[in-house]
Amino acid sequence: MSSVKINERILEGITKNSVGNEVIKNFLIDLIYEEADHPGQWWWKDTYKKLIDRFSADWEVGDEN
Amino acid sequence: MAKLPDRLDIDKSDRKLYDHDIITNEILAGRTRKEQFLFAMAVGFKNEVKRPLDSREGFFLAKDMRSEDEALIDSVALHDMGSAEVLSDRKAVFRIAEEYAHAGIKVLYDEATSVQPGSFLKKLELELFSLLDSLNLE
Amino acid sequence: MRIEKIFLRNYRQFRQAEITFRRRHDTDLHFVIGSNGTGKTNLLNAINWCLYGDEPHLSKDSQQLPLLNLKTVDRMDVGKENEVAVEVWTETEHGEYITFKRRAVFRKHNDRKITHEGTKFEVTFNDERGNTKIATDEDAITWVERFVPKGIREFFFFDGERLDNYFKEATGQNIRHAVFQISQIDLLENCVERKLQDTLDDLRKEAGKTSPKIEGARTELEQAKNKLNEIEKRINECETQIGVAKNKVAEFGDKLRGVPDIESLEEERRKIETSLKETKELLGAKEEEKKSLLHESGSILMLWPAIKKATQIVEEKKRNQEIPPPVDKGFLEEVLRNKSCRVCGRSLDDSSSKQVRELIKEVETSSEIAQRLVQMEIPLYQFRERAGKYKEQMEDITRNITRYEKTLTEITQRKEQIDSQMAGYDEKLIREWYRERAKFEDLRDQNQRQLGGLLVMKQGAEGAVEKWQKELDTELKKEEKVKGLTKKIAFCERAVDVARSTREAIMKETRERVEVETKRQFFRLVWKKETFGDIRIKADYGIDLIHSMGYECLGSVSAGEREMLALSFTLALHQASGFDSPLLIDTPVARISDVNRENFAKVLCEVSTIKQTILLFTPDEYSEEISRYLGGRASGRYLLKLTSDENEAKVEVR
Repeated sequence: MSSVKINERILEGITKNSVGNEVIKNFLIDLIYEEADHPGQWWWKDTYKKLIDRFSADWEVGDEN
Repeated sequence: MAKLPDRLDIDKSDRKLYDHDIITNEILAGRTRKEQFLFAMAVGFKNEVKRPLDSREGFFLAKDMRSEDEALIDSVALHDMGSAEVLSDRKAVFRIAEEYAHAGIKVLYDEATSVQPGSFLKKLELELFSLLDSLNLE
Repeated sequence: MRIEKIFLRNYRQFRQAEITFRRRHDTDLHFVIGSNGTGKTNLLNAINWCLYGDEPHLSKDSQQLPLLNLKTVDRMDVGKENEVAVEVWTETEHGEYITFKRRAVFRKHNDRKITHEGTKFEVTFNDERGNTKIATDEDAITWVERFVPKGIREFFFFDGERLDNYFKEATGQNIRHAVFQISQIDLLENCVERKLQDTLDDLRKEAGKTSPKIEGARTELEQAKNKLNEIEKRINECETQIGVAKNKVAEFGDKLRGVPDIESLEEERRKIETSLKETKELLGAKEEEKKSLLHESGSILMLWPAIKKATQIVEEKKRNQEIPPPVDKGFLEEVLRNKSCRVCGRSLDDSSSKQVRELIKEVETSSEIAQRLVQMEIPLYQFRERAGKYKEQMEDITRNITRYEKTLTEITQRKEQIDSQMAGYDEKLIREWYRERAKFEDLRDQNQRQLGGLLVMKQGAEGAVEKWQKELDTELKKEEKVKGLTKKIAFCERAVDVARSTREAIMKETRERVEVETKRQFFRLVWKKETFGDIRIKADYGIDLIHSMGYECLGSVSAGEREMLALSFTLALHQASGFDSPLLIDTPVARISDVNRENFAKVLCEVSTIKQTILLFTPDEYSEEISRYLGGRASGRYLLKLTSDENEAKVEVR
């Protein structure tokens, strides 16, 4: 678990705006923690692409209501 | 005919009075020698004092007088002698004017130095107003 | 997260000191009381030095001194080294300890020279398994950023006396930045949203390689986005300029408040001096006229009896027809010359010639007299005219002189009034202030006009981005070869949308929350509650303090009220941030008057129920009002004292 504290309102906001789509929500939350835990990394794009590959595989267009 | 006098004189002792600061820079500031002389003459006449000159020196040229100036000194001579005959004797006319001026400049100097600076003219103004009231100008 | 303990060794006044902030009551409130010079502000500096490696609150005197404690320096042998150490022990809400430790080594070369030989900074923490780990370098800095990020530390560890300058230094942009950082919106915006967008662009480029139409749409979209970015950058610059200009206008407005309108007064003075000169000249001319009248008419009046006599004689002679003379002298001379009478033609004998000669003599005398009298006639008439007019002329001149003297007096009085109004002011400086204010007003207005145009352009650019995005999506959907990539792109786009919506919602909500909380705290703190009507945090994050009569009054309130607004805003930011890092204030009530101190005490007491609050007071500040309300509620009270040689500060627990 990350030691970084993320503003609860950001996490709540992401949940709310994902409109029930857990995949998008979890993806963004992971990204937020990734940024907070490892700020300023120069290899961020690789990390982002890996996360996109992983999460988008479970996602379908029109998944949320 | 005797030679006509060509200038009007003052007593030598009067030079320092005419040249005094209070006369040249205040009471008679900006006046010519002729105007200073005529004013001194008028002061002497008003105060009914005249004095013969002990020593003479020229003060201004007779030819510098205009007809008004000549009329003034002729009037004084007429008043003094009582008849017009005096007018044919220019020397006598000038002498009368000179004697009044000799007394007059002293009176002027004494009065000017006995009052506050700047107040002589104010005093003169008031005196002339009361003189005006007493004269019968008609 | 809270500070459990601070440990100092050889740091400035503190040779060896430890302060433990144990929570004992409902409130996590702690006081440190120390006179000036005992190390109170250096305690704040110590925390900054430990966490960030700098000392932003160092006094001028301290700047001249080495970091290493002077007593230690004195006792050190030449050639030896000694260490400055500051440790900040913190405790998380989960009960874990994170310790920040900074050590600097100094070598003594002689009694006057000490050199810094190196610094180490490390953070000790427990990992997920409970093992103790040590972070150094960049990793250590990351831990500091999680505790209290450097960019927003002035909202957590700050000097109360600087609150007065808060709104002078902070522009809307600064405040916006602070709000973003403190609430981690910047994390969402700069990191997630921006990086996700970059990654999305890469995916689109990749898709573009398979189809010219996709590539075409992607390129157009990229260009549209670049244009939008450019416009947004210019908008930011404009807003910054506007913020700076507004502050400067307010700054010069403050300086000019109460200062007379120098420009107008100078203009009036110039006119007065011209008028004074003209009036003096007119007065001088009239006085000369008066003198001339006195001389000329004075002579006439003094000689009036003589003039009158002369006039009588002239008139009598005229009446008697003695003037002009009856016999012409020239005629007689011609008779004598010709020795014959021109009337009857008879020759002159001796007797007749003698008679003629006597007659000539007689006529000569009377002719000269008559001539003189004739010449006098006109001047005598003029004298009478002038004497008659003297009184009227003199009265007229006197009236004019009186009028000019009165005008002179009035003008001189007005000039003195103006001089008195302007006395004590540096006119050059004030003119400079007016010029500067006008310059910044122009800059502000120019930028506002520009901003208007840019906002319109932004709308257009956003429209273009939307249009090309739709175009690209359409092309992507058509192309079978990139189906997999299309899915990732769609996923990314959705994620960016969610991140953006979240950011916008949080921004709005945060601004509103900060506004509400700032208002709540301010109206609790301030004494004159009826004076103020509202507080608004504008879209550009500028703060307006609204008077109960409806006008904006931040520029005209007292220093104490400004401080309370700044404090209220800071407390509101704390709440909005979700950070529970401690609040440490040095000299918190220096500018706050006695009547407001009790309100201040109540508010801070309430804050300390939610987060650790450490206050560094001077004895004067720790007044009756403060101690009466807070004394019994504090978890800890510490007194700083200097030793007799004044080279060491000691901490006493009270």
